[in-house]
Amino acid sequence: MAKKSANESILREKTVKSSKAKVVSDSRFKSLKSMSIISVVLVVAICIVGNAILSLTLDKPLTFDTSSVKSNTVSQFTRTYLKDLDKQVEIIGLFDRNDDTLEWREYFLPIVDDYEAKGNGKIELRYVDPDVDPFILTQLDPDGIYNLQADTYVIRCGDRMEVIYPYACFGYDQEFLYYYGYGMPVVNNVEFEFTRSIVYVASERPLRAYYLTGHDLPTHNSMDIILKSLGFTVSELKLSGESAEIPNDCELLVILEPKSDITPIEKELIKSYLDNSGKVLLVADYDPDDNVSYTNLNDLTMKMGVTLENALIHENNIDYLNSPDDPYSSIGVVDPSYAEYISVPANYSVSNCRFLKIFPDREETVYVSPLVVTSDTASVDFKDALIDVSASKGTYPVVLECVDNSGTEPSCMIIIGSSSFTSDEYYSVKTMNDNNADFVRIVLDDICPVQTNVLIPSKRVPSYVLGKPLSSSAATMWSVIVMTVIPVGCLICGVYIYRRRRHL
Amino acid sequence: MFAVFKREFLSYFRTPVGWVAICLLGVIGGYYFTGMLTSDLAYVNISLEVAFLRSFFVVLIPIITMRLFAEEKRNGTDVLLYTMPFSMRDAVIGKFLAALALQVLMLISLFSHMIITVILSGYISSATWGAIFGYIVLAALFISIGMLASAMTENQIMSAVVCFVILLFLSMLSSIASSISSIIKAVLKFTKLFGLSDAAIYSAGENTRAFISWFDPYARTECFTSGVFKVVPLIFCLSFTAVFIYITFRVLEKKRWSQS
Repeated sequence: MAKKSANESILREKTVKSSKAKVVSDSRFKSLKSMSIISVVLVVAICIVGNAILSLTLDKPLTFDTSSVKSNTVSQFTRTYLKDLDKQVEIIGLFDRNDDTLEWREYFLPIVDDYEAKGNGKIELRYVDPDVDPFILTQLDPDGIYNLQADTYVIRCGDRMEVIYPYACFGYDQEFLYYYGYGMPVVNNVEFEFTRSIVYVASERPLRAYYLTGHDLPTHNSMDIILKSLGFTVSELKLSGESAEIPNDCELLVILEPKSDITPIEKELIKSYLDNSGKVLLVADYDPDDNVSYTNLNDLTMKMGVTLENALIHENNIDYLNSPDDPYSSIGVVDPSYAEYISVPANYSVSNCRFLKIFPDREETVYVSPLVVTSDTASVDFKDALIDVSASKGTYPVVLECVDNSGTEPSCMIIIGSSSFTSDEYYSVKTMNDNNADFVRIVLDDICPVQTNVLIPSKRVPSYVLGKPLSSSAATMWSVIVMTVIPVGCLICGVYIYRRRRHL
Repeated sequence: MFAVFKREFLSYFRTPVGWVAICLLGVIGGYYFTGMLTSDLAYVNISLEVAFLRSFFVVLIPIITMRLFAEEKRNGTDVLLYTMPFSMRDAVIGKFLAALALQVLMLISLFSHMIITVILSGYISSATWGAIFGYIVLAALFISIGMLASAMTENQIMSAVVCFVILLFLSMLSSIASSISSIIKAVLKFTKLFGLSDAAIYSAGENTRAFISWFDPYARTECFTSGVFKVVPLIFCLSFTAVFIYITFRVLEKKRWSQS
């Protein structure tokens, strides 16, 4: 009996001890659990807050451009300009920043972020998707003047605004365009376009240039870039009909490679424009296959002391030829008298240059100066005419500056005989960092003084097209290697090892 | 830690899992690369291939991570983790590094494509290296998420499904943010809840979107693909990777206490 009682006592004692241990274990577990939860919550909170602080403070300073041409950051010119900017400028991207279907996005987002970062608080950047918030378009442009569209950037300062079309920020391979029907970007002008636009909207008085249309105006993206770099905004101008007129704000009229003669109305309007101290840039290259007679245009140029001849400059000095087989593709040199007056590059590429004849019986108030000339042994090839080369040998003008001082203020016409100075075809190969572009920029800057000359070199777009053309058999071979040999090799290894080890 | 790493990493190749994963990524990447190679232009941009491969994270990461801890439980070897002479922290980090190493090794086909591109006089830009770097950083983050899913569930399939759902959610975060932003704007506009102006409503919606998008790891690492190196997104991914590893560690610790 006593033994039984002792056993019960031991059992009771054990039960009490076990339950005490369980209570201790449970409380320890609970405290560890709550400590664990608290620590996790703390760690997550610290992580979020820490990252938020970092994003707000160090995101921009700790950003590095690793691209080879520094296409993701602004250049020194822009940095200096932004540093001195005293107006609030707004950059508005009219698209969803996260929309990865916009293939050009990678060329814009980083550099536009850099504008904001380097803007010292003067550049405000935001993205608004008009598909989500259509009212933004009417808010920015209540009168519909700018015809705002989605997938563009708007640069705004006060009531002045400029629209940037992403596809217009690139130079395209013209040959590629010809063969494949769509553009392959080769030159990146994103920074130039943005800086130029900021300069324009923040400037006191913008300049305006007009292209004369109606005579098969060629594409003029490169010329646009040159003009915009000088602070011009560009538009096209049609001078037909009785009410046609050249706007008062026209600082420069550009007549680019006309493929037909100008009309008498146009002639009179341009004459009148020149009489009022107008400035005209005429690019009149020569194509021997064209049988165009420029009667009215010649009347106009004769007023400025020059006639456009249907003849081609033939370079005879082999040292001046770009290619020994082509006497019509040569190197033009700056005229010594012009070089004394202004600092310009010495050599230019010239092709299919029209013979510009300086009219001897011009008005006394008209001064004609050659700016770019051929070698002193060049000659002229007239169409369907046999010319004695030795008789016509001499120095011929490629670019002429004609100034008429008869008015209160001088009028000016720059006549260029070759399209190499302005054509998209030329610059798609040579890029805008070429001597020819520099020359046009300097000449226009000379005749139309500007406030801020935006000098930002174009940046190369990396080409991912294979350097070596791939034959179909080579393409098949590489396809087989990447699609079959490598994956199947791995698979065979896997199967072999699995078979060896499946019983282990 | 190295012992766990070695055991875990080699285990991928002692079974067909590692080989099949490499083969799978090789086929997917090879398909894209061949497409570029045989196109009319022969336009070969490897960073586009990397971006394409990133979209397969939602499938590949769960496959790699589902077995990390769930299989230990299935085999009953999880007890060994709690009793072996190394800390639980070492076990978690070792397993994480093994999965990450496999993920990096899976890029072997991509590197072979880069070599072929160079042989064919193609161009490998800094953006390509940035894209690969971004890929690895994202992979680390997603592996830590998958590892947590594996530690929290008993079943491999369940672990893979949980990881898949989380990664899918993350990949759609930008779209979700846009939708929520639009909903907020619509609700505020039609109910006129606080009598806000159009600009204020727009601002509220945009701020909500910005807040949600702030957590989007895809958007944050996108800069690497453009040839821009940013330290803050890198810290973002690494710090959240560390957080998920820590939570995994806590989950396993909790299980160890429960067992004792």
